[in-house]
Amino acid sequence: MLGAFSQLSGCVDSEEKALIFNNVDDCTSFGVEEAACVSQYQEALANHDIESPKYNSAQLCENDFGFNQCENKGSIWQPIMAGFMLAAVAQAVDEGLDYYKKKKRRHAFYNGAYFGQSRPLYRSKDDYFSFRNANNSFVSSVSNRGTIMIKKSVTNEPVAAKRVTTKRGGFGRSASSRSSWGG
Amino acid sequence: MFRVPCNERQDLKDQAEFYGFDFYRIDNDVYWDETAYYQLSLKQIETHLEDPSNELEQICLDLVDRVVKDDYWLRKFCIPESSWQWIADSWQNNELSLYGRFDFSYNGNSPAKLLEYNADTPTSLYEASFFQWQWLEQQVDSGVLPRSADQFNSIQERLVRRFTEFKRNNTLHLAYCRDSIEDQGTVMYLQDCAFQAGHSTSLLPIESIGVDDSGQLTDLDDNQIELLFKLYPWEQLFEDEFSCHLTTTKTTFIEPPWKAILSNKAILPLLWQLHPNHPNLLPAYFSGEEKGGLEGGFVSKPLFGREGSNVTWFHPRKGRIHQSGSYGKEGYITQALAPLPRFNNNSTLLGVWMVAHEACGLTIREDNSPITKDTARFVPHIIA
Repeated sequence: MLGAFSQLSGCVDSEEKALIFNNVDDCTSFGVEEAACVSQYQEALANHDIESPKYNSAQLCENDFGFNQCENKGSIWQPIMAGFMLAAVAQAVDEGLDYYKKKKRRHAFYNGAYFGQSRPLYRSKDDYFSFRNANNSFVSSVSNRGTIMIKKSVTNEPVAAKRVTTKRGGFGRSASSRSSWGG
Repeated sequence: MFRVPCNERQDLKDQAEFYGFDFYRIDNDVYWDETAYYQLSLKQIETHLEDPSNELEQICLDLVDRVVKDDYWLRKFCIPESSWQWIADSWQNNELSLYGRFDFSYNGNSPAKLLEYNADTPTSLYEASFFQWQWLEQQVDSGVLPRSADQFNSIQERLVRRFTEFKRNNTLHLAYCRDSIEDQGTVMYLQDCAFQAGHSTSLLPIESIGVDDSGQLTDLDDNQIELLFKLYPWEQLFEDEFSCHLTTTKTTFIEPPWKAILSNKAILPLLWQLHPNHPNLLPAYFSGEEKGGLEGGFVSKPLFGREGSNVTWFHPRKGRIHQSGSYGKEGYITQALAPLPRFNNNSTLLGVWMVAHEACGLTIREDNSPITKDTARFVPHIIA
């Protein structure tokens, strides 16, 4: 349903509008309805849990994202979400407008366009003044707020699910009782 | 073949420490023993050990081809049925083997008799390949040994060359058992050989391998393991908790899964059945199926035994010796006795190294008992 707007068209990596905010306050102060800001922020948080880089220890995570920049989720660690990015989903003149109007409490209307599909942004230790997406692609400088123009490939980048080890220690059960194999 | 007494190098301890030979003594007992060496002739090496080993290797590869296609033999070998297809695939896909070691009873005169094939996790590699060669060079340089002295030893060159044949676009992981200093030393040596062959490498304990949410084996940084050398036996991997992941993981293993067939003592009765009266083979049978050729005594060995554990040695006049252990639930084979030759009250076992299916080196170990155990001492050799 949103596919017509959000998919990459062929191989051309065109630019499109996106919104970037640190948090909900940031979003409302740009004149976006609070309900939409909250909804988009929560959508970003939900995506954050799915697509953020994941680590087995706080130390491994902090190596990449810095001290106190990581959070614990069960048995794994991930960087905290530093911001969120909304991609343009419909111009006011587009035929899809009515659809988004009906959903407007969920989608952010700003400067004549609807934005949605909110995704998490991160700030890494080695490049702290940039926002990066979960694939570690550069999105923008953190000094940018509100509307920016960025490559469609970045706003819509399919995030490769980062694999996380779910279990260890399943090999070697019989290793402890001996000094070496086969002598 | 002689055993020649020899003075230990005065700086042996320093050298062992310098070269990282941490297990040159094991539990305060001598393991590396250079107070003697064995001297063999070139003919003994070439026609009594090297040529038969190369022939046995081909015979063994033919045997793998037969077993992977036959449920009867796979069952007889106690290979878990869930891994049959996977093992057969690894054989059909020509997955590369790195190394192995044939153990022989050989006294210098009669044909060397194959006792077993350590085809999966042989150790004593570092000392055979590196430390033994160092010893030869230094003893020649210091005039203790003649300039003409040589050694059956191109193990390291062959290992490096073989490693170049494995895919080098990803990290080669090498796994050892966490608490075994000997295993760790062996694996670090192989890591060095792989590095020389252009691999990027990473060591980890076998106990630390993980499985990710897509069922792939992972290292300590959650990276998927593409190529894994494991100094840990296949029959144990099949029994471990993660065995269910073996057949689905994309990891390539060294040794490959088909080596599970050759590291099994069930090859001994099958080899005898396929090649009766081969000069380098001993009569051997599955337990309960014994036939002729055992009149001079026999040895009973568990299919998956190691380091002499659970071996019973029976001699018609000298009686019975039993080595206790924890193996044997899969059953036993019976092999005609070929008592190890005694040199200066030691029972001496010869191991011929195979790398990329070619004989290339020699390990000689001495034990006080007729059953060679993990305490057996490594004694260097020369060709003269």
